[in-house]
Amino acid sequence: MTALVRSELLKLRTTRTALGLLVGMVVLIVLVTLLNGLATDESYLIERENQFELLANGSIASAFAAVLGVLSLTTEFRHGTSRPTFLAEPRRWRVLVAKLIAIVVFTPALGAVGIGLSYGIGRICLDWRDTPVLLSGSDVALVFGGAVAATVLWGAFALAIGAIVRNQVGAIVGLLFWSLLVESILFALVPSVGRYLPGRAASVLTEIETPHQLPVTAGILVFLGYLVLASAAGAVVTARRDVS
Amino acid sequence: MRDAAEHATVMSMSDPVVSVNALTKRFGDVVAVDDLTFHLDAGTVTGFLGPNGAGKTTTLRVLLGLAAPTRGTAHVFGTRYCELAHPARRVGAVLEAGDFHPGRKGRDHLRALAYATGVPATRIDEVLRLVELEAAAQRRVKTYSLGMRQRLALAAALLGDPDLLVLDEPANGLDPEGVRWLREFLHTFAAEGKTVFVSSHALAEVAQTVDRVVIINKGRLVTESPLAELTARAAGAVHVRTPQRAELEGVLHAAGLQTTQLDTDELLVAGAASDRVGELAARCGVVLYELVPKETSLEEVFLHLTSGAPS
Repeated sequence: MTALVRSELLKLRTTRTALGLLVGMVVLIVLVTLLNGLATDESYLIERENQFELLANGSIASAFAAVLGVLSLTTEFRHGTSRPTFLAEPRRWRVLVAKLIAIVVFTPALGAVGIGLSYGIGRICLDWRDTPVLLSGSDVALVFGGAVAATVLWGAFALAIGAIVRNQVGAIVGLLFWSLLVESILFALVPSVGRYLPGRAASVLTEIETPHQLPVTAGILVFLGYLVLASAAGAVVTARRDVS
Repeated sequence: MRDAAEHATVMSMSDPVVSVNALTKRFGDVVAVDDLTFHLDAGTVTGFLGPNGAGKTTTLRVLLGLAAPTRGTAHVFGTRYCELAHPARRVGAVLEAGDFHPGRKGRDHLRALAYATGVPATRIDEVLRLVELEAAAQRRVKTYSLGMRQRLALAAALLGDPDLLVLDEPANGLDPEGVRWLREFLHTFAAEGKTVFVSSHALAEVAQTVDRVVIINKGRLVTESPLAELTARAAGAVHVRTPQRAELEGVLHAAGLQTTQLDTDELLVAGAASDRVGELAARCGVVLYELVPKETSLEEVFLHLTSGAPS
């Protein structure tokens, strides 16, 4: 299994995909955080949850981790490398586990870079505007821990979705469509149910004081539940479906 | 590196390397492989022939565990591919020559597979040397020509130093130089006593390489035989050059043979061995400048076999 994980980590770093995602992520986080920290009203930034949002902008890294997760398997099907991969390890679930471990090893770095950037830039913005920081020590811990955890969890969840959907574009568009549109609508209409949806459950890691939000532990557990279900489904589908 | 005892327990020398029994594979209503049975012995080079869409690739995919059979079995070394302890160290396969990430360097592609196959990094240089791709190893695959991709795919298949090499249409898109290179490579590989299973839609592509053929059409077995047997089935034509063309024609026609005039002094004699034509000419004192058996009709036998007509 160690060798398989090495193989997957090597695949991650031997194309320009991960580097491209990292660069895109850095640019986006710097822009969003600067905009959030400089172009907002004084009265807005004096609120605790808004300060949290400013410093936690780096959790956008989780979206990039999700793209990386989706690509992990779908790229292999797109370029046909799934064939040599599954010839070298015909027990396909082992390939999936190796990919999962590789994602879990690789994505925290993405989250750490992202949250380090937004926290640093956000604090400079607050200092520059002489805004007192209202966040407690545990809030700051959540800013950092939450972003890194969300990055890992979304990367893993997206890997499973990629295994189920297999089509690269379909999986990415589907994830975006679901989390940006379907969940938002459901959450707005029926928040008591909507808050149990995957994206809303994971938001406990990256947002505070959102109305109807689950408690942090409950949110994490609910998301882990989805992760386990999706991974199991992904493993079954990958094992059963023919590799063309 | 490899455990000899492991080999011994999995199979004895007499077991077939590939054993396909009553294999059927359906995709919905389409029967891609239909009750197919054939076997390959160790040390043979077998051509897997049939027109496009005959079910060759599907058979190979089932054999290599990439697709599940609807019915029947397809075994390598006496068991299912996925049940082999180190499958990529027993079987090397190239199903599509384009199975690379275009943005990855050739060497990195092999490195990733070397980990998964469980072979040391030194083996990467060995296979790169084998396929003569060392100079391009540090280039991204998208800069490779088709021939280079074919050779990189072959290098990947050879990583595990396999005893069986399975190639699906390896000559597709290769230039004549590439085809010749591949033929020589397969000769060398087979000379070590290893087994080769190479598919093609054109017998001519592999006729100089294989010693056995398995021919399928519409998913069913047409024939499984040594190549020599297939050659013997060829009607046999003889190309003759003689200054006494008209005289020879008369002799051959009298003997019941059909001839086609190619030039003022050249004839093509159908349905006869060169011995017989030579004897007939000698008996009547006809001078022969050339007497050449034509084996091109092997392709015609193949076409005849796969056209659906009974052989």
